[in-house]
This record gives sequence, structure tokens and C-alpha cells, in this order.
Amino acid sequence: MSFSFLFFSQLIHKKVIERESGRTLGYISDVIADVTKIYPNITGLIISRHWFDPGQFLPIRCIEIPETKGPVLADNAQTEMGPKASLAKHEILVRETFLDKQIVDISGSRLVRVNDLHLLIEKANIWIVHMDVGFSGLLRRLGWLALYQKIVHWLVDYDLEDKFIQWKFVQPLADSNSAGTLALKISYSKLSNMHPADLADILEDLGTDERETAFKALDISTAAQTIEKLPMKTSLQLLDTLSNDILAKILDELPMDEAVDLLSELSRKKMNSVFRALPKKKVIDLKELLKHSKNTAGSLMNTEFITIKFNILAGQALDKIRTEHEKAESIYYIYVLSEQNSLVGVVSLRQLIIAQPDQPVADIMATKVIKIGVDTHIEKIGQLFLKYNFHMLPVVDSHHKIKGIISVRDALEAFSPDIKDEVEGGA
Amino acid sequence: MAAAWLEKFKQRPWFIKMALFFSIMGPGIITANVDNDAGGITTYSAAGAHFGYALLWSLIPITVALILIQEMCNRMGIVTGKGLSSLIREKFGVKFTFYLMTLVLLTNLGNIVAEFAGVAAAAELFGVSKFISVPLAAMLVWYMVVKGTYKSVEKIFLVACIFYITYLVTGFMVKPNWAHIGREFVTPQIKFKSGFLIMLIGVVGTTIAPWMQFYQQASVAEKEINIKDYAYSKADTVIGSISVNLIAFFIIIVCGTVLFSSHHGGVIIETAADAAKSLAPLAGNYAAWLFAFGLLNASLFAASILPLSTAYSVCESFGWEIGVNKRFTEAPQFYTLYTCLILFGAGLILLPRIPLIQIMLLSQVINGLVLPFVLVAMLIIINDKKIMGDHTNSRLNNILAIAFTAAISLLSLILAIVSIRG
Repeated sequence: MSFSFLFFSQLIHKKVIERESGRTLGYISDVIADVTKIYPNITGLIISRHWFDPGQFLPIRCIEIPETKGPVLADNAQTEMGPKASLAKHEILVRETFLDKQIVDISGSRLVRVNDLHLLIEKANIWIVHMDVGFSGLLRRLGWLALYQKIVHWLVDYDLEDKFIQWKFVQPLADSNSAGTLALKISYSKLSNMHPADLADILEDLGTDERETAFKALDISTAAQTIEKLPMKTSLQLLDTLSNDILAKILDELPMDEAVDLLSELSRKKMNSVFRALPKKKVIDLKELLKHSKNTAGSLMNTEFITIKFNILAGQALDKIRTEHEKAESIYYIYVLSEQNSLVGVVSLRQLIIAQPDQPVADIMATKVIKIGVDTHIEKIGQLFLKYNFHMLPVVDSHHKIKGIISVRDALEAFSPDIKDEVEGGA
Repeated sequence: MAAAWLEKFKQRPWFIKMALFFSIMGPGIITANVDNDAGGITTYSAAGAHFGYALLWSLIPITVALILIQEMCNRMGIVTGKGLSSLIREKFGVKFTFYLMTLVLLTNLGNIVAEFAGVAAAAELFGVSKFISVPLAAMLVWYMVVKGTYKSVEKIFLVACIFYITYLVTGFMVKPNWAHIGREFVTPQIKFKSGFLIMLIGVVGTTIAPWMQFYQQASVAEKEINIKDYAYSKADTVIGSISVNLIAFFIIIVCGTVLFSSHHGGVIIETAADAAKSLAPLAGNYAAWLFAFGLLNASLFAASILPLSTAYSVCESFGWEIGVNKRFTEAPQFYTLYTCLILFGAGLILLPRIPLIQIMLLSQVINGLVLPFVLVAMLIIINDKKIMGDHTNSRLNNILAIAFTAAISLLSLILAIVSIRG
């Protein structure tokens, strides 16, 4: 037989006996695995004599796992067994990392607890191929599986199905103190495959330390998208643990209004150090937004939008949208400026697409623009949205210069701050 | 650490402090007040009726122990962001957790039955049949938690806490001899009669129960309080623990003043409803009504929290989806367990001739047996640097906690033995 399966629970805590002498070496208290391969590969055992014994390392090549019940046999233990200095960069302690711990099931986007591990023995190699998160794994650990299966089988002729998660969908979690944190960080990339909203849900359910570790392992853009989906309180707690550089990078990725919301909650000292790490232009914009008092248009607006001059053609306008769309929150409304840069009209994307490319923008734009003053109170903004049924409105200063845009969503959020937290899982 | 918090506390203007405190308060005060549930009120009433003010002094050490224990859970919840059952599973493995949680489930179920019994009894004092009050209460409880959000539920619970004032009002209405009470309160006394000792153990056991540790830690973890604001959270725990014992103090005073007489040992109280009934002819209908209203409020309040807390901690330890903000298909185990606990607890009360007193006794025995395991597990976890980082117990904290744990374990064990032998 070239390969066979084994459950981790059938290996851990097993007695280890030296083959030559029949001497008991101890029992298996943990297992070390290399996580750089396609599946984690078991490289050795930690063998302890009693509960408090930190244990000694025995490489996997020395041992033979019997097919029947009974102790594990070890060869050359005299020379091979010895203290293990510390884990290498690519190694983890399997029991400590997985057994009874939470992992993220990437395919199901949820947190689950590991009841058992499913191992594949192929010649001299032992691979970790599945995580058992099902009820049968729980019963196996408790030692009741056989009895349970017998009763159920006798009653309803139905076998309990195993609930396994394939290794490629398993994201282990680590806190800053756990052994092999380094090795786990390498594999954190799996989290980035998830939708930021799901990721935010999972982060929220995690313990404080695990959340921090997982979040720090995300790339900047995923981190920013996730922050947007987290309740304010959790976001602030996470941002608080970051270095100013990383914090600045994340804030730079966020839409202006979200960034301002978060910034305004930071301490003055922290805010200033973040400003030092941000691009000059961004800081000026942010400071401008921060100036406006809470609950006025100025504090809610987003300063990333697209404007065009009144004298260009529809085709040129579309070209401008193509080059600038990335930084804008919405491209559905394009605001038209006069020679003196004051807001004179608005044109929708729909109008631009339908128009001939050589048609002047001034011909198709609406000239009666509904606008909001920077000092307009949130209540008035809400009324304007209701009255005119737009999903986006421009914000202008006293000289009719456009300063930003406000979406219905922003207004709704400001109107009833609780809504956001409740939607985003603040139970 | 503590000094740093204090410094920070002093720097902030008072109104910001108040606002912060109100946003953080909840878990500690709610947990402590649920503790004054039907079982608690019964025990305190009986303590007053049977022994007068003689047991008042015990509330002082109980308060200290309660603060100490709940503060540890609180700290674990804030630092780790995880519930107690989760930490126990990760630290002690599946076997210990499974059997511990089974026992917690059983004792909590007993408590839930007691709460619905309290609802039934209190409603009957107002002339409402239990066949109306209990199903209504069960539906109310189920609906509130399943359809509400954590924030709204917490607000309702905080309001429920205020209604405990009825006991304070009753306390002043019966015009006790305050000088006498003051003397009894500060002079510890132990009578080596079995009845007295059992009552003492009963008061301790009902005030410090395992579900409280699970509940408070879970709700603190859910609230995601920043460790920087720990001082406020600690205040929440301390205020809660003191207020629960203040209510107990007044219940004992009311029953000790009205129902206790040194000549023939006082009126025999077996349920909290007995106490309310006996109060009417001696202290007037208002006192009895206030007492009954307090019982109704307390039972309803605890009946909403206990099933929730139980389902929460069991599901958390087994890694099943949790949360009132999830749909049934997302968290089937959670909702099934939660609903079954309520159905079973309320349904049992409606059955004819159930051995209620025996169920209570059994629940109390399991309670007493589980508590030492929970406390020891807590002590091991909170001293683990890997889990708690810089927030492990201080030496003084450890000494006090170990002493109290030993004392409570011993008392619980005695109670269990005594209860089994009848």
C-alpha cells in the first residue's frame, strides 16, 4: 500500500517506544510541520515525559507509525533525539496552531474551530491535507464516535458525514505570542482572496490579538477596503496598533470622507504624525475637510470627483473620465465649470454616452444645478436629497466653487450613525 | 499600569469621563443585576425571614469576592476579545471543555426553569394565571433577543436594572431599626447550626454563579472595549457588584424586619412568592406588591439573559456560528439551543405537579460542583502570559483570588453534599 490516512487525534498523545530497547521515551505532545510545501509536511515530533516537560525533538525519519493500535516505534533515538532550539522560519507547531483553535475557512468565508486534522501518510512523508471541523471529529476526540455511529446506524441507517476543509482553503490564525508566527504570516495571503466585506465580518469575530496579527498581514489595498467595512470602533482599535507609515498608507487608499472620519477620531499627536507621512496635496485636502464642523456638508463631502470645462466636447469629456475615474468616488455625474471655475452645470454619464462625440458639453448639460453650501446642516442636506431625488449632490463654497460631492449614502450615515455599525455587523 | 490609567482619568474633563463611562457601562452592571434573579431573591428572603439580620455581614466578603472574580473575566474579555468558553477550549482541550459545558448547560437550564417559575409566581400574586404569564414571557424573551440588536437589548436590560429600586423602597417602607442593622452588618457571626450554615452557603452560591463569568466575559468581548478605557469598564464591574449586594442587603432587611421573630424563628419561606405573600398582612399590600413586582422584573430579566448566555458559551466552545444578528440558516445550532432552552424552561413550569424544589436543589448542586472548575480554569488562564500579555494577575490579586476560590469551592462542595443528603 502506497498511502493511507490517519487522524491527528490518533497520533497525538501516543506513547513512543524505542525499538531496540523497548524503553518508553515519552508521549507525543506536539508535532512540527513545514508549511512551505503544497501541504504542511510533518518534519518531527515533540516527545514529552510528563505534563510540564517542554519535550525533546525527534525527526520524523526515525519513527514508524503502526497500522494497528499500539505505541509509535522509534529508531536511533539515542543519537537523533535532542532538544529543539527554536522553530525555523517555515515551521509551525501543529497541535498548538490548529487543534481546538479557530481557523478561517476561505471557501465558506467563516470562522470555524478545528476538532481534528486529517493526515495523509505517503511512504516516509506525512502531509496535513484536511481540517476536520465537523461533529464526527468532535465525537472522535471525545472517544464516542464508534458508539455514536453504531447507535445511529442501528436507528436510521445513516452515517455521519465528515466535514473537512481542504488545506488550500485553510487560513490559520496566530496571535503575536504563538509559536511559528513567522511561518503563519507567510501563508496569510489566503485572506486576500476573500471579499473585503466577508473579511471584515471575520476580523470582527476574532480575538483582539489574532485580529491585529491578521490585519497587519494584509496588503495595503485589502486592508483599506476592509477598514471601510468595519465598524468605527473596531477600525480605530486596529489603526491604533499600526505604525504611522502604514497608517498613512491605508488612509491614503481610503476615500476622502472615510479618511476624514477616522482621522477626526485620532489624537492630535497621532494625526500630525500621520500628516507628515502623507503626500502634501492630500494633507491640504484633508485639513480643509477637517476644518468643517461636524454635521455640515463640508465634513461629509468627498473631495474626489471629476470636473470638466464648459467649452469641451462630449468625446473629450469621456476621455477625461477614462483617465481620472480611478480617483473619483462616482463618475455618474460630471460637474461643468465656467471660465472662472465656478459651477455652471452638470452632465450625467448617460447623457455623455448618448451624445455625439463632437457635441459641445454646454449643449447637453443641465444648467439648473442643485447644490449644497459647505456650511449646510445635515438636516437640510437630507431634505434636498429627498426633494430632488439625486443620489449625488455637489458642495460649493460662497463663490460657487465646487468643493466636493455628497452621496445619499454619506448623508444617510451622518443622519443616523448607528445604521452603519448595525449593517456592518456591530451586533 | 493602574497609576497610568488614573493619570489619564484625571486629565480628562468630567463630562467626557461620564460620556465614556456610559458608553462602556453595561456588561458588569447587567451581569451583577441578573444575579438577583428568582433564585437569589428567594435565598435572600429566606435568609432574612429565618435568621433576621444575622447574615447581613456575609454580604461584605461576598461583594469583595464577586468584584475580584468578575474583574478577572472582564479583563480577560477585553484583552483577548474572546469568551471564557473559547479560552477554556483553547487552553484545556476538547474533553475538559465538553464535560464542563455539559454541566454548565444543565445548571443553567435549572436556573432558567427557576426564572420562569418566578414569573409564574409573581404573576399569580397579581392574579394572572401562569398559563397566560409564562407563554407570554417566553415569547417576549425570545422575540426581544432574536429580533433586537445588542445595543437595543442592552438598553432594555439597563432599564430593568433600575426597577430593582422597588426593593430599596420596600426597605424604607417597613421602617427597620437602622442602628440595629448597622451593628449586625459590621459584626460577623457564625452559628454552628446546620440551617444557618446551609443558608450562608446558599447566599454565597446564589451570588457567585458560573454563568456570570461566561456572560460577562462574552458581552465585554462583544462590546470591543479598548484596553485604554479599562478604568471605566472596571468601574462598571465594581458598581454592578456593589449594587447587587445592596439589593440583597435590602431584601434581607425587609424580610428580617417583617417576617423574622427571635422567639419562634420567623415565617418559613420556600419561594420568593411566599415572601411577598407573607409581607401583605404584616407590612401592607403596597410592600407586598412592590416585592412581587421586583420578583417579576428580576425573573423576566434573568430569563432573557440565561438562555442567551448559555447558547452563546456552548456554541462558542464548539466553534458554531453565534450571534443574534445572524439568520437561522447561518447559526442553526445557536438558535436551536437558544429556543429549546426557553421552550424547555417555560414548558416545564406549565406541567402539572413538577418537583420544582428538587429541580432547584439539583441545579444548585451542579452549580456548586462546576464553580470550582471554572474558577481554577480562570486563574490558570489569567496567569498565562501568552494569553494575557502584560495584563496577567498581580501577586495580590492572585493571593486574594486563590483564597476566595478555595473558600468558595469548599463551601460549594459542602452545599452539594448537604443537598444530596437532603
